[in-house]
Amino acid sequence: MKYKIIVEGGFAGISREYEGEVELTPEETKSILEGMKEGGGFQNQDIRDGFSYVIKIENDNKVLRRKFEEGNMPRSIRNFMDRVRQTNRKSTK
Amino acid sequence: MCSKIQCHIIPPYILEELAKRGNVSCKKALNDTHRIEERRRFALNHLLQREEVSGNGSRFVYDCKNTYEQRVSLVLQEGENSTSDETTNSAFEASGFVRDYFRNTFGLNSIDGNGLDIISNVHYGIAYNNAYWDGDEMTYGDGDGKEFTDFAKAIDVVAHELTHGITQFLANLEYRSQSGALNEHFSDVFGTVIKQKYLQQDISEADWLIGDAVVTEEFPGIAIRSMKAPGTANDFDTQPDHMDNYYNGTADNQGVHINSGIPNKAFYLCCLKMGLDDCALLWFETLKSLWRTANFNDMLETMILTAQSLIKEDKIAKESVVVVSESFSAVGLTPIVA
Repeated sequence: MKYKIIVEGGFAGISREYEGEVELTPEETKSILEGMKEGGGFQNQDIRDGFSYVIKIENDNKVLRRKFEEGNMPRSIRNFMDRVRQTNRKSTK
Repeated sequence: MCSKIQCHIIPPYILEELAKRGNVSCKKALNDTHRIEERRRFALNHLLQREEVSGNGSRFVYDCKNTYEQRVSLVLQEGENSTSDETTNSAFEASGFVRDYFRNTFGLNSIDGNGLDIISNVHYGIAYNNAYWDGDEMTYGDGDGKEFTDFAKAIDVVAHELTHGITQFLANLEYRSQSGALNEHFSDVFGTVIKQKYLQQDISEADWLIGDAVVTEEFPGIAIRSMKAPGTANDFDTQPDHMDNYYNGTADNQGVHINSGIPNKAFYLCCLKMGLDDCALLWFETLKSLWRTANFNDMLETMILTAQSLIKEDKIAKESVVVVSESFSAVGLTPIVA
């Protein structure tokens, strides 16, 4: 699965960009695709210094792009983000 | 006259205009209406109605246990002894120091002026490089240990986040463009003021840095922001210190963490001539008079009027209007002084 993630905002206000490709099990892929489809609904407008995340993934030639906020990111996408951050720490815009 | 109830049927743009002209009840109605709308939307989406209750600013610290959930485990509250966890103790102590500063200096009873409980969440997420205010409580990550470290241990970070709460209740500055940059500015102002109080520094000793305690040696810079020299704190710092370099892009909610550098620099210049305490009072009283969509010029106009009132009450030095005018002119914002 190919991915491109842009993280903006936060206390520091430093943008981060992560781009690459990961090998996932069918279960992991399914979970992420479900998260991309279901998450990102309600946005808490009172959050200050929260991150916003623009996530684009490409799987089986299909591209999905969603924007998430601190309060509406599904667990599967959180886990995916943590995995990406751990393997790609230094990518800063 | 405009009562709070009457104001509810008046269109927001008229409320905003009346608020700009100093109508306090209209400003309050405007801010309250927006906040109530947000609360209702939040409650409907979560099928949970939170009741507002008055309190005495009691502190509660929850350990998120490195999950992305808040209020996982209550580990310290008012009246209890410190714990074995330094992060918990730091969040508790720092939030108490900030609460006491606002109470003892301005008579503000906690975040909302009505004794709202002060809730801190620590150890949020995995290597989470951030701290935020969510409309009700504060949340702190541990940092990744590579570039950032424990956000709950920095007094200016805690003061910054708690001030977001105060701003929400006093002016509810919209979090985008210039009103959003002002929201960030007020948080940086009280972040740096309270840091100096906490460290018992005077303005000549202060470093005027924000977030210097949360960056590691590996981080390419000395802090997150600099009030004294915006744009110089780290390799990614693009804060302008003058309107000539104002950021017009769409990133960061139209530059809320970027353009805050402009009023931040003006605050620093003011402090050099007026002193920290007079400036803190002037900024706090100005914040009380602002409204949701206030921009840089609105703030400056309000600040001049506020300064004139405080001078009449003999609360700040009589040269303050001139100092404010000069300081803001130096960053490209020239006030009209009547």
